Amino acid sequence: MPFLLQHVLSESAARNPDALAVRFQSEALTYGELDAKSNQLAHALIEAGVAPGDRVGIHLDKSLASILSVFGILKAGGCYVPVDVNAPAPRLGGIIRQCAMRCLITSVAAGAKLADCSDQLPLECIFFADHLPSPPLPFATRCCTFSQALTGPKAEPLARGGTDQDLAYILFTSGSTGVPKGVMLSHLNALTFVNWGSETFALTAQDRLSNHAPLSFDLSVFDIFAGIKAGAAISLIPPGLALFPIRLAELIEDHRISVWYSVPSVLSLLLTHGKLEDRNLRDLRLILFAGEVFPVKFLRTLMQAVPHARHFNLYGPTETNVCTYYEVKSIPPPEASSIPIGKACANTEVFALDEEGRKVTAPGREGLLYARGSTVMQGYYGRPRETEAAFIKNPFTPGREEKIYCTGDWVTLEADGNYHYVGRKDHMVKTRGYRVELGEIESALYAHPGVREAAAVALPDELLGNKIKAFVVAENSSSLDEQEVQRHCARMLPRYMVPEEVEFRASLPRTTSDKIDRPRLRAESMKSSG
Amino acid sequence: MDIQETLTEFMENKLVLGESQSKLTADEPLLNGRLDSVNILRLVVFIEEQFHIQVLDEELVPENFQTIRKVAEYIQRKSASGKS
Repeated sequence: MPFLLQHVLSESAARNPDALAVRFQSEALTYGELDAKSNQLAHALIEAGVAPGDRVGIHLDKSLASILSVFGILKAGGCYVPVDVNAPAPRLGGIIRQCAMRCLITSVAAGAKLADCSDQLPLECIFFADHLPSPPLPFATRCCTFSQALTGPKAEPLARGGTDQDLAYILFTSGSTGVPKGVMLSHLNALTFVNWGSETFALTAQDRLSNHAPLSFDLSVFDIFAGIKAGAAISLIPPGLALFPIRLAELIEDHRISVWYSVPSVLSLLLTHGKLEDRNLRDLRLILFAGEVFPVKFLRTLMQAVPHARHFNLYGPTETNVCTYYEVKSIPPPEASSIPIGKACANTEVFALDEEGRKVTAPGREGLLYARGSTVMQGYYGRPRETEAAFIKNPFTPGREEKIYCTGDWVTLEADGNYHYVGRKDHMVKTRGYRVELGEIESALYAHPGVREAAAVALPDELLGNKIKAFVVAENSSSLDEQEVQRHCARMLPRYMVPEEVEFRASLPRTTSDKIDRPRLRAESMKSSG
Repeated sequence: MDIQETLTEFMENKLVLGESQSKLTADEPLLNGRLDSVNILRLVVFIEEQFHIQVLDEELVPENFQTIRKVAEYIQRKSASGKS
């Protein structure tokens, strides 16, 4: 019985070593190759000093090397920490320091920004998936290449043990105080979700899964690990190609993708510009979406375009992997405002507590959604206070202390037992499927010397889910303009957090308690944009 | 302003592009992180309105959007074929 994530690879490789495991553009790896090469990489990582429990970064474009890195790190007993390849230098440096990361896997192009990470980095060893940089990085860190690591004779399985309580990966999400938070997921957390997914969706070795999401986004956990567990083939979608719906639709047909998983906005783009009607999509049997609310209008078109596929809405913050799911069995009526997030996954319980802390049992009532079970995270790395705040004591287990996770999402319960997403209790919003704490954007705005006061609000947008607008009061002496504010944000934040619009004001409206009146700013913006 | 300059100005001022050390030039690759899926649709809308052409779904392909020069060449081809 596999109890560590890497076991799913060894088992599938032993069953069918010659089967195709991962393909990317014109390259591919069989199960046997992926297993042997990740063994070699793991040996090299251990030789480079990676100890059990070490956080090892992956800062790479989507590639076979990135998948190899995931399994190499796990087999070395480490915990992988993906950092988006487009992350600006301060964010990359911040995550490296926050995790006390001693080893990083990157490429020459992506790793070049390490030179711009100010202050000392704790890195002791950098693995380059392509070749060594020339000139070398301006600090003394041991560097090594994949070609060196993968030519060694050591391909035998690793003797390193571990338990399912060990960390498998850390995913960084937006933090309201301006510093990203690292969500810690153990092998048990991940496998509980992976086992549920592969069983619920009856994945087999005949399936071909797409992987659209980057490693730093938890949708990739399903694609990679549920796919590998099933012995299926995984097609990594090149990020450049993802911009061109026609090419994306061609890839789905050419690779005969049978299971698709992405955020809804990608599906909307495929529907509006991908000319799906010209494609033969008969192999596509399963379409999964998560990360944001799917506008019913587009979901209806999708179900008409691919009527033979089953459609599932998956829900869950990174902290719980996926905790509820809902199969959309028939095309929702045009007047439906949204579809439910559904019921709990296996080995997971969810319930809503109302404002008085009572469990919501009557249909139509609203409450905050809580989750308990093996998919719930271990906490935020190195942040005991935030971890503490994310959980409450389960009021329904007298005599036994159990922590349950508060999703921060308001939901209503429906008569059929499905939950329905209503909104957030805080300043977290979703844009392009990514979660964003408006406070993190405001912290970045305040870091500009020309900004006296700032507020960020989210405005509804059909394609993005939400679009972010910043209000700025500039210092008298400053000649700040929209472009400078956006450039400043782009130097500090991932792109999806950079405000799409910036409005300058002489002052910001205040509530009676003297807080910046964000709801009013939001309402004014929505009125003015019609 | 020629087509390339118009495009450069629009992209520098109206699109939130990925961070890069280099300035946006005619031959700077756009598809390795600088344009994302939302920006590319905004760019398409701008091209359609500014140059009075219709970007067909089958023309929304990497070959036409690799660099500002490629986008400009595409617009030129389209405009020429529309007038003939």
